[in-house]
Amino acid sequence: MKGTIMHEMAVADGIIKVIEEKLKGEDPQAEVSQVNLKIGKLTCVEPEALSLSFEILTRETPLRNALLHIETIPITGKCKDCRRNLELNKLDFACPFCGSFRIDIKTGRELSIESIEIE
Amino acid sequence: MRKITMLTDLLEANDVIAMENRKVFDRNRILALNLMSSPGAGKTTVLEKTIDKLGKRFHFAVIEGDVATSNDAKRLAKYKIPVVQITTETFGGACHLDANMVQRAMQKIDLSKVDILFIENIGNLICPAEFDLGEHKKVIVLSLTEGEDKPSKYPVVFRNSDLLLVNKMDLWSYLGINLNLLLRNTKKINPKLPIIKLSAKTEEGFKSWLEWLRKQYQKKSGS
Repeated sequence: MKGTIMHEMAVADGIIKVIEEKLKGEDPQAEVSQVNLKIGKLTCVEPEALSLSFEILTRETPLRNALLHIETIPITGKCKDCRRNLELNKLDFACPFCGSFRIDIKTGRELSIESIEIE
Repeated sequence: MRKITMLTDLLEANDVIAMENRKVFDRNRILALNLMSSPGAGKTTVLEKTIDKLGKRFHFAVIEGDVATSNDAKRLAKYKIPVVQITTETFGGACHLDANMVQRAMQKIDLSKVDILFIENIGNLICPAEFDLGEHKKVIVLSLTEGEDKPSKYPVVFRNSDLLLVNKMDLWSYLGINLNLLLRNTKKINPKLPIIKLSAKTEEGFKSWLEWLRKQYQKKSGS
């Protein structure tokens, strides 16, 4: 999807704020070397655009050298009609087995900061 | 190297605040609606007409989201209702409203005097869908000029919504838009989504929208 960079900017901003809050109790000299994220495909966050936004927003902060490690979480769920567990590879919300649109989504909405690594 | 576990989900954090907002709305017997669309689909015109038509019957308030400028808030000023502008420039130019921004805006309104609160989201069909603001219903405004494939291109927002207003119906005969295809594309993504075709300009179909609004309010207030 094009034109979404602002979306990632806002998400990156949120991530940075949460981490900065967490860093308050740490050594002010500490530098973050890696941020581990879990991002569900339903959030429409593009990993590349997020990394770029993160890089831009963290210049001259203790996060400037941090690498974003993004684990992408697929959209999974269960079809209410054929009762099968499924994974959606397209955002058409149709059961790949029976074509039903009655689907319970289980994963894919994650936007989670799992952990950070500091030096 | 030391690893610090965080396990903080940004959307979960948002959802917690959204739930608080919803409780405040419920306590004040307010129907809160989140209005979403692409830029220029006619959200503000729909609002103007709605307030114009039902302003005697309901006390309205509007939380107005924009990346920059307060032009929309100025347009609504003439109705003498509470309007709070959120300009997300101060939030890094965010392309959506989140529950926290809405919570702050709510504090500027005397909610005990409000029946229906419109939260006009930022013109964008991508991410507003993901951020629960505490509203009771999500309404998408799609203008006919945007083509038949918007629902297929932005399925997440269409899937999560409770009502679709197809606006600018007065332009239909000029546009050569295949309305059935648009409706079919919508049904594919969200089979249960109610659809109202209208023109905020000529007021064609507008009654059905006002009727929907009245019904939702009755359900909410129990009156």
